[in-house]
Amino acid sequence: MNGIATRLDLGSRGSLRWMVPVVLIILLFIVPQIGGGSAFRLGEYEEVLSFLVIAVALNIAMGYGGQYILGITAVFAVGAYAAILCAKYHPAGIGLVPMCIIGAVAGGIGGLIIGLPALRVGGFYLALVSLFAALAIPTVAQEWGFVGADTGIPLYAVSGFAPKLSGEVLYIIVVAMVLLATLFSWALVHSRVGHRFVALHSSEQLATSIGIRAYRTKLLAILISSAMAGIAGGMYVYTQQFFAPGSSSVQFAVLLLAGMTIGGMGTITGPLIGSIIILGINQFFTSFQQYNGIVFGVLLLAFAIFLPNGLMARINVLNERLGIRRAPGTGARPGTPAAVPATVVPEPTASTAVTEKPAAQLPSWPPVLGSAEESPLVVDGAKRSFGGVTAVDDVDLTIVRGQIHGLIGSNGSGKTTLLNLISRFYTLDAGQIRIGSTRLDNQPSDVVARAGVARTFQSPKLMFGSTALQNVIPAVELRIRCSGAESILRLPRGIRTNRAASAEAAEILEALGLRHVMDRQANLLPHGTRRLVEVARAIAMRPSFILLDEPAAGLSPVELELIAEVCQNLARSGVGVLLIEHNVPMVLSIADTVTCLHQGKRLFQGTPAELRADAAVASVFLGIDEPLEASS
Amino acid sequence: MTLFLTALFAGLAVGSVYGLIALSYTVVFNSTAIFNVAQGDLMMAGVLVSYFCLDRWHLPQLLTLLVIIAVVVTISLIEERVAVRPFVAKPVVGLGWFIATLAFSLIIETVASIIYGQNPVVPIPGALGNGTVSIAGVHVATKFILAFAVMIVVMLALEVFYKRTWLGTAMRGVAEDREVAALRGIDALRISRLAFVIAGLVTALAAFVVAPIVSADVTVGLTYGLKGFIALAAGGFGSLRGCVIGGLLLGVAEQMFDLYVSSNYEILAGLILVLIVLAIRPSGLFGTRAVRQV
Amino acid sequence: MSTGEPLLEVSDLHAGYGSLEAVAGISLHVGAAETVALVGRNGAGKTTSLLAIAGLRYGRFPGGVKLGGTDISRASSRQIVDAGLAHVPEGHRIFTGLTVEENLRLGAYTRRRSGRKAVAGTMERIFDLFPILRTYASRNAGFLSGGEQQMVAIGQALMAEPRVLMLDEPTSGLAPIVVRTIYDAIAQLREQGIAILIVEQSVPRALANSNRCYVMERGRIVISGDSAILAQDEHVFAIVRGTEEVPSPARTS
Repeated sequence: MNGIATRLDLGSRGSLRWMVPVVLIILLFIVPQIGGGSAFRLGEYEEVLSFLVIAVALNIAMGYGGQYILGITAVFAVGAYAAILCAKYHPAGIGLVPMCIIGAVAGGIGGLIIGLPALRVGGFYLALVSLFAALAIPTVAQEWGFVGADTGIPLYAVSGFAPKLSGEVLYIIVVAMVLLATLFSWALVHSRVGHRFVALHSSEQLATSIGIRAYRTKLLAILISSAMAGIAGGMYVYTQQFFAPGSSSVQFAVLLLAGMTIGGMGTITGPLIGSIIILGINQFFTSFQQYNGIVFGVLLLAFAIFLPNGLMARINVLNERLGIRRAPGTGARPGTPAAVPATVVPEPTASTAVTEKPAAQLPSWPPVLGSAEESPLVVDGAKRSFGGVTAVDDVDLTIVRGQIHGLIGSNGSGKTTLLNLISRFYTLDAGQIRIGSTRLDNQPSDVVARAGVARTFQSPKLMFGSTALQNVIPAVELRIRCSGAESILRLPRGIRTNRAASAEAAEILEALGLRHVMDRQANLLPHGTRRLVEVARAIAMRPSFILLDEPAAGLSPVELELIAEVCQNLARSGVGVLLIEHNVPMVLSIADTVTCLHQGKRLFQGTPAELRADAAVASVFLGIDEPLEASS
Repeated sequence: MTLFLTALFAGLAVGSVYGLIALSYTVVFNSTAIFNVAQGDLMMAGVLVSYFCLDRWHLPQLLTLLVIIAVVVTISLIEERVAVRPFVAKPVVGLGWFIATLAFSLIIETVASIIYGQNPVVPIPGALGNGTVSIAGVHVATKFILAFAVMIVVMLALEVFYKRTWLGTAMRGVAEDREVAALRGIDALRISRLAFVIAGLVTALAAFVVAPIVSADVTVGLTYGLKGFIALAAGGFGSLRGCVIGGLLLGVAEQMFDLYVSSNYEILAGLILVLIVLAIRPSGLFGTRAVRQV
Repeated sequence: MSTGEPLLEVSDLHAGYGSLEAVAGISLHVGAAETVALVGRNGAGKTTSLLAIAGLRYGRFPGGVKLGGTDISRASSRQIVDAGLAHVPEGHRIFTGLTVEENLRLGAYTRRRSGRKAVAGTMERIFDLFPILRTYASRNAGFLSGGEQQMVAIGQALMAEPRVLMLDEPTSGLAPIVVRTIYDAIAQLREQGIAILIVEQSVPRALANSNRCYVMERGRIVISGDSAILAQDEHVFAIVRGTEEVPSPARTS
């Protein structure tokens, strides 16, 4: 398939990626012409089609949101039972749309019941609890007379239920619904909500550091995906007019997962393709069914080992290559967060060529997030120990707006721990952190971020499957007001803010001389550039305070100068900067105040001039027994 | 009261099987940091073997046990080679191992159903016969007592193994930091292979004691696997005693649900148990929180 | 300079992560009863060099490592330990879930067949070297202080009875008194005839505690020579501090 598409030469950008859905759509519509269009056959196709909607739903939660709600068939069953029970007891006038709505509501509630407790604990429990629910629901239904026990509920036997749609019309409507669901998932992924999903998926710390509410966002991913699985339940019972415990087994959940893996999680069309392959084999090669498990198992194993990101990711990579060859730097595409390891570092030769001359005059970045008054960020007697080792011991520190505060100290002296305490990745054992009179130390880290405290990480945390630009956008979106629904559904304000966020993110990257790598995927960027992208993301929040953790490590001299310039510019704009650096000369040349930590304790605090004169600091931290005059 | 006690003992027996599965999860997890989804199916394979040996071929019990061990350990080793090693050799990215072990479980299940068919497996005579012993005025089947005893012995043996032997200590070391372990000359691949041998052994024992207790069909692997996992989650990851307690708790909860609520909805007991435990102690009854994160 | 035949000889070693070459062909040697320091800035390639020498290869680059004349550049990490090379990676990485004694015992994993007595004997000598570990033998290593954990890490490496010991920033982040203890121990080890290769962040500390010193910058060795002589050389400090670009071509003093 790849080969054909390559030879066909399908235009420059996104050629393969757009070909796949087009072929898929045509295929779905003409299936009855190829495979026979008897009522029975159509019913079978429609069954597969409603399963495809579950695959799309699962992809939203798992592929993009990173929430392993593996037993999504439980939610599907809940939606289906709700819809079929309503139809059974109120048969008159209930059509496809009401059934889907009922399914969505019931599915959403079911998803929340599974998700709420499991999410409190964390990732793997959701997989466990949902899988167990997928096992339990059919087993319970089997014994429960109200839902028809073992035999299920046959809707066709209910007098008064007269579906308006049937035959090819119904088939086409169902295909349209699958496409609509897919389109929705695309719109979602490319909205501010989707950006948050991807950020959260790639790293929870990253996400909360730019103000994303982790718990709420995870729950939203589960809710959206369960509601959609519930809709699939409604579609299923309308088209099949039947639901029984056997219609959703835990084995079926496994099949869906197989489809997702083979097609490629975290791509729009991958799960559809994979599920069509798997369900197609399962449904239509019945003579062969006894051996299906082996076929699936081997396929799944082979994909997990040799093509862990699935078919679509493969096609995307190929597409990227085509795109790069034809039109450099125009290959923007949505992230496949799970798929991309951060450790692949490109050729060192690229790093020299990457940083363009940044904007001669950096634009002003006055704070937008945070309080209007100029209160400083105060760390008061901060203390934290880990298993007997006191990492931060009674440290006081004040970050004043409009000033640069340098924080130096040897490895393990507690600098990064202090930063993690401020941004609330660690809790304080004792002490306080506040801005003005607002306490921060009892807030979760996303609240700290939204209070106007941005940060970078010692080893850059980026969404490595996304482009540099996409990495910065969610930080901008944090402070542009717009509801998620408006952004997903592309309502006027949604379109406006989506564009504005993208434009502003681009502007900041441009100011840092990163215009030409904006559309490059983050895992293809050299280390130095990754740091700069992270700094850009922190600036994009337009914070009142910015905490930079060794931003200059591994940078070239030119980039180093840029970082210094950026810090000074932020201070000029009225931002309080905390700069952790090993490069002491750089810190001394730009900082207003310097704090030196040693073994968790504050060894020194004062101006750079005072530090240079302080022999104790020079000997203990720098290991050089002479004052630093000579070096700066 | 008699009813209660009968249910209690039955619960402890079934719970012992869950505990054994949880123990084999822990053995694998302790040296590879993955959960072997196919663990339940490995046990199911053992149950089938014991059916063939005892019911069809009329082999003696001891020989049967040896055959079960041979078969289960072999499958376990095959799994390690094809579905696990590709993932433990490199830093774990994503859930590839999950999909791979799931795939392997699918293959085991399919092969088993081809060999045996879909019918339930007939319960097999227990190793200690079908006799009973009177405890607190209740007749307790010897097969129940065997299950319980085997689990306790396995747990104690594992504790000694991890504490007192070179290999056991090395396993704990490898799980914690593969790189440092390698610097000390510990072959991580060999260690994970060994973990699969031991886990296979524990699973084989589970199969041997469960075969007389429950009638099963070839699809129960996933169910038992999940229940073992619930025992693990309730007891707390990484703790051997947690596995045992979690397993017993689940078994007893199921029987009590059976007795006082409804036998039809027994399966809900596990769901309720895990939700309650997670709500009260998110790291499980015996779980400890990680000391320091990055 | 060095006493007798070099025990560890590294020639044209390359190593890196992915396609990034962090170590671009370094050559160095360490003789018996000699302490050699390797200094340089963050990211100069020191850590990667040691890991590559210890057999944890990053990337697929060529390079020769000889231990006592035997080529170990293709050996497995187990064979390298057996040949007599032990490495203590940076950040006092020990097994925090194990007791101090278990940690030490695992260091002797490759010698497990040499008998309980031999292993116990080595452990005794380590307890003599770091007496505080004897007191904490049955404690969980995760609850020790950073300095004590570093002692456990060094002790663990010594349990293999190595001929060459490599240490990556053994004193970073430690209190001066602990630093002294560790360097005293290192001096004792050298007197016992062990060859020592040490990566150190603090240049004065490195020069004061070594016979010879190599300065690394951007994956290459740019200066090498006698520690006593290099201590007079401002360039060494300047390069490590990052205030001076690498002099070219590389020179030896």
